[in-house]
Amino acid sequence: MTKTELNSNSSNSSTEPGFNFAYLDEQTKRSIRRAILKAVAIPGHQIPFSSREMPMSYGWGTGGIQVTASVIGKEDTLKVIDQGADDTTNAVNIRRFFKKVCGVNTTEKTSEATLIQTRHRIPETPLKEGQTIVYQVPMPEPLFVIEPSRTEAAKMHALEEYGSMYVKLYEDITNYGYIATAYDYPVIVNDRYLMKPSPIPRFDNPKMNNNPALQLFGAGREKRIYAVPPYTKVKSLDFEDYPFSVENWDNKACEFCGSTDSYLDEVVIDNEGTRMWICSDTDYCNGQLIVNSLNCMS
Amino acid sequence: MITTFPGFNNLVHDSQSTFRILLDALSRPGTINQVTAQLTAPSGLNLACAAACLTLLDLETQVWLQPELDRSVQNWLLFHTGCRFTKETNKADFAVIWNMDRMPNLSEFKQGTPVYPEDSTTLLIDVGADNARANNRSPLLKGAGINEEITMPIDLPDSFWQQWQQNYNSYPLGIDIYFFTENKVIGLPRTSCKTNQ
Repeated sequence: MTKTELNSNSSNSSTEPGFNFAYLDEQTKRSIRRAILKAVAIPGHQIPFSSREMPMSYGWGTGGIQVTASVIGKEDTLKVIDQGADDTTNAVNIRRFFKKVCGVNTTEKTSEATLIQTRHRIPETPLKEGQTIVYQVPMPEPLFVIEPSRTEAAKMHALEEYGSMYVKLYEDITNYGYIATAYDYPVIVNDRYLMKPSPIPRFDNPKMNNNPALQLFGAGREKRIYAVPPYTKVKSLDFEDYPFSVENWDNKACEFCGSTDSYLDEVVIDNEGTRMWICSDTDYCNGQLIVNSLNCMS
Repeated sequence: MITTFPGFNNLVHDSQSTFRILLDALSRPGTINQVTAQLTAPSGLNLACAAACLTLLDLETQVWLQPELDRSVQNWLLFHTGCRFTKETNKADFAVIWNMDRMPNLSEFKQGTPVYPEDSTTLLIDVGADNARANNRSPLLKGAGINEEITMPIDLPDSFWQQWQQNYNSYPLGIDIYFFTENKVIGLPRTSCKTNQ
């Protein structure tokens, strides 16, 4: 490590001494950056990368963290969510981690963030041009449930051989009368590659299509990076007579903010099994509460 | 002494900001993106191209330099990045081109394989300030990263666009290109298609 690298953190007193900016060494960042650029050039195609050990276990977002660490700069404002919430363990710890090793500004507001790392949700507030969203991915290979061999699955991608994925959805229809896949619902990106959107609910799939923000995906244990550039076609698989549809909650509204158009979580609130429904996206819910209180005052 | 020119002032932050510019350029093809890092480039490379080299190249990359590129460029790249050089275009991960009139056909570069389409050459082309404006011949681009259509903001020869059409047709195989003029970058990934006007 050169002298300038070591000194790069010293100007900012809030960062932890002894670490390079954003934790990873420059050599690692460069190889991940090259993988990210290739991923953008071939939307939906998984690029292998030399995933490093991170100071947390696989399965806690190491892929997303490595992508974020390679992209983040001192001018960025970072938001981290876990299932839509800014205040859950995974989100709080990852946000604290980047605060420690980068000294960047963090926020809970979707509209203020330049970089958003997410586990399993896309924020309800529409993303804008110039924003980047990084998904934590547990299993990047959509064909894994059909073809356990990586080598064979790679060949199927090369040949655009995705018929068996349709058969799986068709089996759902014969068994249940509808497509039962609720999360990680497979999509075709830019009319070519079959892609797993990470375990976001099916509700979020339409938000990926033609999104003005750049979407990056990192799978740490599986050592793969893939991407969807802005304004790119992302189509959820379906059939003409069984078109793709999103979840609905039979006109239930969030019990905090009253929203009827956001993704609702079911929460058990006592030992009798009483339930309530609340927004999964905490930032959106808080925003709606403010809007409601302003409306009451006026 | 193989080179007298320094690299980035601040290796960590300058390479990060340059990477973000390159990422923006490739994810929004046809847009003009400005490199903010300052450095003294060796003669033969403009500032943006030199910054991109320092950001992307290291000992893991094979680089093809267009012949007759100033010797000081090779020395400078070797000193600052430790990259390896190759004389074969179909082995190169990156190719640095300073004269588009005499560059090899796009199909002579590494195209990737059906299973690993990413194993292909990325071209870094210095187009010079003269070409750095759109004119009424400039084509419209369509494809991933482009909202509807965008005008290609640099003037490129027809022969290039013929080769580019072939490159586009062989998707997902093919090469990706960065064009550099002074301190500006324009990305042209393999997903970008020239539309008929």
